[in-house]
Amino acid sequence: MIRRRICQYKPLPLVDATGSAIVISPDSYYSEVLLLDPRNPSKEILYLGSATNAGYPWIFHGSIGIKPEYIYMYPRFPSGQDIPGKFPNLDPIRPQRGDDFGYVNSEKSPYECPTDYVEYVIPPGFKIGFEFYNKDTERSWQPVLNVLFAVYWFQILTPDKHGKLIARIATREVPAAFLTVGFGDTPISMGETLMKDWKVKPLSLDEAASLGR
Amino acid sequence: MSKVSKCVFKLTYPVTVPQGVTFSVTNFSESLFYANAPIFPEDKRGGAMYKLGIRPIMEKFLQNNYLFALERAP
Repeated sequence: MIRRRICQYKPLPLVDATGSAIVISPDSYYSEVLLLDPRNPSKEILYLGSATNAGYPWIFHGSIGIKPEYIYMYPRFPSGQDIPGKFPNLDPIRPQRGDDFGYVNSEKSPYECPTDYVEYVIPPGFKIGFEFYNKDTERSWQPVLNVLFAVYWFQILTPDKHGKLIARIATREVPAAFLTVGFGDTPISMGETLMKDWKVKPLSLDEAASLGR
Repeated sequence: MSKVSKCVFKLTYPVTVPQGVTFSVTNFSESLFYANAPIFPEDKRGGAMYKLGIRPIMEKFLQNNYLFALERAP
């Protein structure tokens, strides 16, 4: 990593594409939305529009705190894809019904202290969507979020120049954070475009560990 | 956390209103409620959430370790 910058949007009251407040009726569902800037709802907050910035590749890494407690949030990453957190043998999660698994709420990621219960790593060009359910049976609520992320600018290690270091990272001889784009059971491919823009060819762990021998 | 949608306070002393008057707060402020609620309930260190391995994201931001690997899709 070359540089890091913390980015926080707090409070972020949820708005739709017209900038209107999203207020969810009691015991009701709200369909997938992107996190938009209430000042200019044409802008998505968690989006990197270019593969590089200031000469370096960059990514988002962070989490989202939630309030009030009645709001269940179901993230989809990338937008439109599966929701994480499903028990492997169960049917798909149904945010429309307020299913009691696969959600994040203020207990798991409190508004004042977002946690890594769901940790988001977002490369350039990827969009992340969220569905919501209001579990309060009497009152309507507007979800309010604490969007706490770091932007990392980094140097990509290449097998020809840094083979030994890559191998030592892969075998955990050198401490390094292992970040997953997507969720644990379903890492997401970076795609041909980003591979080309970043000039990278992803390796398996075994391939990485065998470098420099 | 239990649900709070309505609170009734009884003022007894010192007040200048007749004894026994009660005030009903029907539009309970969400911000007031959260201002008084624990931030990370019992979980700062050694609490239930922390023991489950859930960490404040600030602890996960790369600070002293500048190396990271992005996991490859299968």
